[in-house]
Amino acid sequence: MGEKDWSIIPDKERERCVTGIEALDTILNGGIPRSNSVLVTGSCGTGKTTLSLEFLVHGAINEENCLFISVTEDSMKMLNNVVPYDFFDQSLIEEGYLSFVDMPDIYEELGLLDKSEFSFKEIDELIERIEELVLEKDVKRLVIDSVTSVCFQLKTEEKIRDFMLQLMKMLSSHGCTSLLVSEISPEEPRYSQYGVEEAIADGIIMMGNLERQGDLLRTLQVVKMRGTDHSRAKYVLDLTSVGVLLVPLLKGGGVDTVGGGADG
Amino acid sequence: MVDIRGLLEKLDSMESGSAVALKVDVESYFDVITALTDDFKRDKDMQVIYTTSTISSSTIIQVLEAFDIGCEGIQFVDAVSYMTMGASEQPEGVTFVESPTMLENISLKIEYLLKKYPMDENTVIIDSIDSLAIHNDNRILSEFLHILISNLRSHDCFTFILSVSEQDSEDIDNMLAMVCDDFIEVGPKKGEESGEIEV
Repeated sequence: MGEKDWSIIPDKERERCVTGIEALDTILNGGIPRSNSVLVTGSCGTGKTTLSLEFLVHGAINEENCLFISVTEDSMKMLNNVVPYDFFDQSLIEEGYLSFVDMPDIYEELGLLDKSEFSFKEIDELIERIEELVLEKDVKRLVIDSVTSVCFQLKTEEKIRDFMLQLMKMLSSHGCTSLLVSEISPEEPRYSQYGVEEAIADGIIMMGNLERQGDLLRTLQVVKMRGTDHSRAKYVLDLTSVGVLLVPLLKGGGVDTVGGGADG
Repeated sequence: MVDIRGLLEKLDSMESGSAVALKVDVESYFDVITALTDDFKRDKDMQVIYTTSTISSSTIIQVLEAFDIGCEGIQFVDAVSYMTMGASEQPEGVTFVESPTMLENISLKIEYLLKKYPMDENTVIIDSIDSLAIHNDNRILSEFLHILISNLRSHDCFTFILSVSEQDSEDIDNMLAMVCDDFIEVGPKKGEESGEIEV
């Protein structure tokens, strides 16, 4: 057994995975610490998929290999529905910097498509298959949209913990920075559906809907990010063709939260 | 108090990144709008981002066209038309904000336009602080102005915040004085009708 390197790397010196979303990189003091697994969590319509895809597109533009694993939606259909970015170039896909895999195809390969619950052995096989994809393509940025849908087929807390721990450990060991999309219902008083994901993740980016005087604002808040100092303030975001834009949430008035789980 | 000619002379000495509060009497209101857009767009060849929460962008476009000021190079952020159900279609050069209470979204649309149409020099006009004050609490409005102007300064934008003399409010004057570099009151010269002012 090789000796572990126990030397401590100060936060400021940790290599960053620059998301390319300018304001988010500012919030994170330069980007997500490389190899972190980050839960992007929120209720529907809060911009989780769009933000995650933009993270990959910027990586691909910088010639990092990026992989989007779509669990619930056909990835091509999903691509057609996201905001058409001015900076997106089809050649990123053609040249292999940006790849899409549909999780049902993986399930089919592994004979899991019709299983209502995965065993521990099947979880191991699933992780191995994802690892093969990461190694085949030397993936440096990965998105799974959503891990909640995968966890749905694991049923027990033990299995979910096992899956999340294995997944994050494997991705980290290959220097892969990941965004794991987590779906929660608007009234959920926590950051993930099963409660396990949020405890294990290196970071949590919380996206929500905030109602103020009848207006519905999309919000983003970095709740946790290991390996860096970061702002924990809430920001209002807009999904535009130049990418995700953020401005600080104004605090002058009273606010009620209708989305964004633990927010409320 | 200066007239429009005097205002334009003052503005010639402005440095980029400046924020100026313009307190305008109702009679000079349209003259100031046309003078500002004409001067900064046509004469100085800058991009103008015109944020309106007072009257709809379509009305302002009509006014500008009546003065032979083309609207190419002017981007409108319109926070009125949605509220009055007048935004059934989105004309080129107009970006809608659902309501003047969505102050963050006004900032976001300005930021979007600055990124979407990058120009060396940009002018941002906020028309007007009084109409925003109808819909927003002074504390949140003050916070909005502070953040917006700081951001626009970082982009080296010229920023103008219009207010109307007839809706005089000490709170708003103080708010503007705190965030702006200059506070200029604009009105017609004695004996001059606003329509006769040459711009």
